[in-house]
Amino acid sequence: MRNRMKFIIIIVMLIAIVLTHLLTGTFSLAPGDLLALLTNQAGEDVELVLFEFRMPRIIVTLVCGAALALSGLILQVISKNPLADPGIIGVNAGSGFGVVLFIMFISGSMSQHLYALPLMSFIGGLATVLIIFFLSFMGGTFKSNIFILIGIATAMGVTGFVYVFTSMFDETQMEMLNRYFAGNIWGDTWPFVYISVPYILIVAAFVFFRIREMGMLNLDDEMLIGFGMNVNKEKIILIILSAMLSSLAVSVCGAISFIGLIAPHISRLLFGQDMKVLFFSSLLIGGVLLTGADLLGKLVLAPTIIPTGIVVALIGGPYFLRLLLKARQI
Amino acid sequence: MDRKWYPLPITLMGILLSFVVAMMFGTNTYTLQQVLGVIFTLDMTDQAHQILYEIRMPRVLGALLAGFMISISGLVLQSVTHNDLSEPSILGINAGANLAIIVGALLLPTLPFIGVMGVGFAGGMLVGLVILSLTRYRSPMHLILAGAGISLLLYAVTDFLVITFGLGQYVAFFTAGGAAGQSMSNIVLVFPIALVLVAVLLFLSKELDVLLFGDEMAVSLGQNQTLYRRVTLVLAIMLASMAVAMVGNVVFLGLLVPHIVKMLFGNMHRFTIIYTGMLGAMIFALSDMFARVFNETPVNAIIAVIGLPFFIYIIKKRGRKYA
Repeated sequence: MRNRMKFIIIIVMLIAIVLTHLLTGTFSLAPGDLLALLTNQAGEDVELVLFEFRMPRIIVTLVCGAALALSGLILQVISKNPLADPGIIGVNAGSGFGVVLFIMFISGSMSQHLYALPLMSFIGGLATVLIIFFLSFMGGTFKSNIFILIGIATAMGVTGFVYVFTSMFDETQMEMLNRYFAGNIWGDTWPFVYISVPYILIVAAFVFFRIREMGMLNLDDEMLIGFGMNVNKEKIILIILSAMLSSLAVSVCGAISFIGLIAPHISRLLFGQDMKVLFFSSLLIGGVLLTGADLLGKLVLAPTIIPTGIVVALIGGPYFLRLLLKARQI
Repeated sequence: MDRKWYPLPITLMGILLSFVVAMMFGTNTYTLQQVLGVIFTLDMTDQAHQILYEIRMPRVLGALLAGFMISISGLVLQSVTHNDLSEPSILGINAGANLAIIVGALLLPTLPFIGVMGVGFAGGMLVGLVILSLTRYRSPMHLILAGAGISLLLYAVTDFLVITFGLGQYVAFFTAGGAAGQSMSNIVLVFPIALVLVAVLLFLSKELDVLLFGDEMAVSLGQNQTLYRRVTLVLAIMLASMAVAMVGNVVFLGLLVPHIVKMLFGNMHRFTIIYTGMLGAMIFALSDMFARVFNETPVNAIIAVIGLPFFIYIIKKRGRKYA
């Protein structure tokens, strides 16, 4: 019963954020316009702004936030470390590398190759996580701490490597890359919605099928092997799913960290350890956080827009520090 | 005379050699004669001499100096934190110095180089101390996660400032790192400070050895641990922040070099400090040379490409401790 109340509160928050999002921006709307839209009496310009600009952006940020949160939850379960986050372990850097390759070899303006860019970035992120993952096996078993260490190192190394190419970039190319690393949501048109929403739903459904195994992974590996579980196999499946989620999210939204860290943590604070509840609450909270950050970025310094990734980091960083202070044993 | 001093002349020769080689190759290649001519019979009417003396020599000397400082800083940080993976950039010191320098550039656009260095030091120091006091030297894992998280945060703040105030050009230099654009006056300024700091570290090398033994041993040997830990830490952070002010954010160098040296010469600090500094200087100057040859690639990128596999190797080899 109490959980239901909490869920309702979160959903109300989400609706409030979405509504404010719809109404504010360079072209302000009155609440009456929304009603007019529902009754099909709105003007051309209102319809254009809402349908072509604001709606797709909100949907994309919502699902990407959810995907990042779920990806973080999986990583935390697998590594048994509450501080794991897709951004910290190198997904963003890998995707950034994909973006750089794109700018190098395909180039041109973004509008010409609407899909090639997210695709390259997606492949970059996915490949990076998988490489890190396979490097973290020692003596045939997956070592979660090694995974995180190698991930952090790879994030640093690949970011450095990216600069090998930037020396050949001109002004506009450099700006594009900076936009990516600052976490600007660039996939804010309907085609991205059509791709990312079904994709994320399907991957999330796959994760949900493994929810019981995920819950059990909290136990010691030896114990699980004793129960007859193929721990390595479960971890491999889950990590691939996690990488698929986060690399899609960053390829559409740009380099965004900390959502995957904070959302599962808040859910744990609110809902305890039941993995099934955590699954849904992380998704929801992730969506709330990213749309909220996007909204803040739009409103705080209006008319200047702060990139969403920066807003997330400015909020998430101190939260991370607090977690670190509290964490007794890692 | 300890046997481990024997390689010293060789490393000194190595430094000289890498200086000469780094002077010779770059966007333009010069002959050995021209390089030697600049050193012994400088003739400012000769155009090649002029370029070598005014542009390339400060750059090569700056690279040598920066490599020297970063590597020693990494070595000391590893000993003090009891952590094989410590390094200025991993602990967030670079990110802190970076942010402070940007803030400095915003508030006081005409800050002279010594001011930039001071500001960078303050920033690096602050972040280093915050991270170390938050984690209280607990576990390597903890320390590294803290560093990674705080770096992410600080770089986000830096990005934010850069985007709102349009400092892109100024910052591209720091994030990419590079020894380009050094001036002789900066080097003349930094060199004596670096020498003094390293001399103090050498003077404290016995204490650093004791720190390596671990907490119980240090206490039972009667060492005032907190004092030496703090002093050496401050020195190491100073070295690292000065390097950031000079060449920007260089990752992995402070990790790579001390490990190679420790493999060769063991753990006694009076050897490792010297050899680490020398080797670091050589590696950084030569990487910078390659950077120049390959179309002015940022040198940080080259170090990262060498450093990443090495880092993974170290983790895999000594990983049992962390796993």
